[in-house]
Amino acid sequence: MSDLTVFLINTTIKSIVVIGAMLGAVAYSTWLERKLVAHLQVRWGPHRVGWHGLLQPIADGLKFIFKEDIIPTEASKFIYILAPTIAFIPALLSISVIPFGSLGFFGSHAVRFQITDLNIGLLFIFAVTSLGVYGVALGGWASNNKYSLMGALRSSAQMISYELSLGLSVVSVLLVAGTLSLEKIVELQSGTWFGFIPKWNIFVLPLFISFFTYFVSAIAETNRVPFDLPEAESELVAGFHTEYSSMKFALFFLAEYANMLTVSALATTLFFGGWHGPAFGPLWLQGLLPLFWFLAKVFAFMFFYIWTRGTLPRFRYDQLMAFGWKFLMPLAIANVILTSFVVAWKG
Amino acid sequence: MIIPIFTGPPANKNLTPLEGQTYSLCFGHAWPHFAFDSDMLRSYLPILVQLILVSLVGFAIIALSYLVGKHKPTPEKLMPYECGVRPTGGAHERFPVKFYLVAMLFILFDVEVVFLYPWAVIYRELLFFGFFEMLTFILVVLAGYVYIWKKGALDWNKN
Repeated sequence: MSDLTVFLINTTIKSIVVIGAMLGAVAYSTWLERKLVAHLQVRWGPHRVGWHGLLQPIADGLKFIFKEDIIPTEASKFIYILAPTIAFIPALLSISVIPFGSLGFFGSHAVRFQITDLNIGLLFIFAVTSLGVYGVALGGWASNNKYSLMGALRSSAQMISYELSLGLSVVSVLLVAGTLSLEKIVELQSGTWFGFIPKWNIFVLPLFISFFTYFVSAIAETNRVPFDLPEAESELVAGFHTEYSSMKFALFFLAEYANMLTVSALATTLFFGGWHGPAFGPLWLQGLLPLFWFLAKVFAFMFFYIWTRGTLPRFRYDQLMAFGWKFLMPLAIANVILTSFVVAWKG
Repeated sequence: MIIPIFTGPPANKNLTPLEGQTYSLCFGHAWPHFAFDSDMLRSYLPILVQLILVSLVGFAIIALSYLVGKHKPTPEKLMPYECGVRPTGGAHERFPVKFYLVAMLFILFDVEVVFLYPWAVIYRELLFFGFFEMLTFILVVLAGYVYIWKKGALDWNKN
C-alpha cells in the first residue's frame, strides 16, 4: 500500500470514529439536559426507558425515524429538504480540527487524536460554523410559514450580531499564542506556574475577559437560553423549525447540540488547556487520560449550558441586540487593545 | 506519492521545465504536478473526507426517515401551521428593514475583525509598532461605531 492510501484509510477511520462519537455525545447531551433540568425543577425526568432513562435517546431516535415526514404544500420543496442538512454538515465538519488528546500509539502505529491539524484551524472553525446560519435562514424561509420566517430572521440577525464579539474575543488568545493552529495553542498551555497553577490561557491575566465575551457570545451563537429568542415558544411556536417534522427536525436538533459541543470544545482548547491534565499510571492510561480530561472539561461546559437553561429567563429581543452591540462588542474591542498592550509591554 | 492535479493555469508550451518538477501533457498543454504529500494539501485532505462522510450521514438520515416513515397526507396537515387557524395571506411578505441593517453592519465590522487575525498572529514580531498601527485602525473603526450608535442604528425599538 502506498503512503497516501494508508493516510486515507487512517483518516477515514478517524472521521468515522469522531462522527460516531459526536452523534453519541449529542444523543446523551439531550439525555443529560432533560435529566438535569428535571432535577433542577424537582422532577424525575426520563426514567422509564432503561436505568435512569439511559436508553431514552435511542428510543427518541427510533421514534424520529418512524414519524411521518410532512412537507407542507406551500413550502419550496428543494430548499425545505436541503436546509436541515445545511445546518447539520457544518456542525459536524467544524469538529475536525479540534485536538482531542495527545499522540497515541496503537502497537507501533502513532495516531494523533485529531482529524487534521490545519495551520489556520481557528479560522476554519469560524468559517465553517458561520455557515450554519444558512441552514436556519433557508429553512425558515422555505417553510413558507409566518412563524418560521420570523424565527429565521431573528435567529440569523442574532447569530451574525454575536459572531462579531465571538471573533473579537479570540483575537486576544491569538495575541498571546501567535498561531492559529489549535494543536500549537494547546501545546503552549502545557506545564504549570509555581508547580500548581496550570499554564492555561484563562489564568493569563487579561484573557478571562475574552473568555467571558467568548462564552457569552457562544451561548447566543448557539441560540441557547437566555438567548433562545428564535425558539421563543410563547411568541413563535418553535421558530424556524415550526414546519419541520420527523428526522428533518432531528437534524436541526442534532446540529444545535453538535454546535454546543464544538463551542465547548473550542473553549476548552483555547482557554482551559485542551487535553492537558495530570497524567499518571501505566503507559496505556497515560495515553487515554488526556482524552478523559478533554471530555471532562467539555462536559463541564455542557453542564454550565444546561444549568443556565434551568436558571435564567429569556431576554427580550431589543435587550438581546443592545447587549450584543452595545456591551459585548465594545468590551471585546477594549479587551483586544488591553491584551495587545500587555503583550507588547512584556515584550 | 505524486498525484497530478490539473487546475493550474495552462502552462506555456515552450516553457523551460523546472528542475525536479514533473509535468504531464493534457489538452496540448504541459501541466506541472503538485506533490500531494506537501504538508499543506495533506492537512486539508482529511477535511474533504470528513465533509463527504458527514454529507453522506446527513442525506442518509433524511432518506431513511423518508423511506421508513409513514405517509398519510391530508390537506389540513399540509397547511402552514398557524395554531389551528386557517392562514391568511402568504408568509413571504415584507419584514422590518432593521434586519437588513443588522446584516450590513455585520459585514462592515466582520471585515475589520478578520483584519485583526493576521495582525494578532505576527504580533510578537511587531510589538509596540504593531500596537500603535492597529490602535489607529481600531480608532477609525470606533469612529464609525460611535457614528452608527448616535444615529440610532443600534437601537432596536427606534424607527
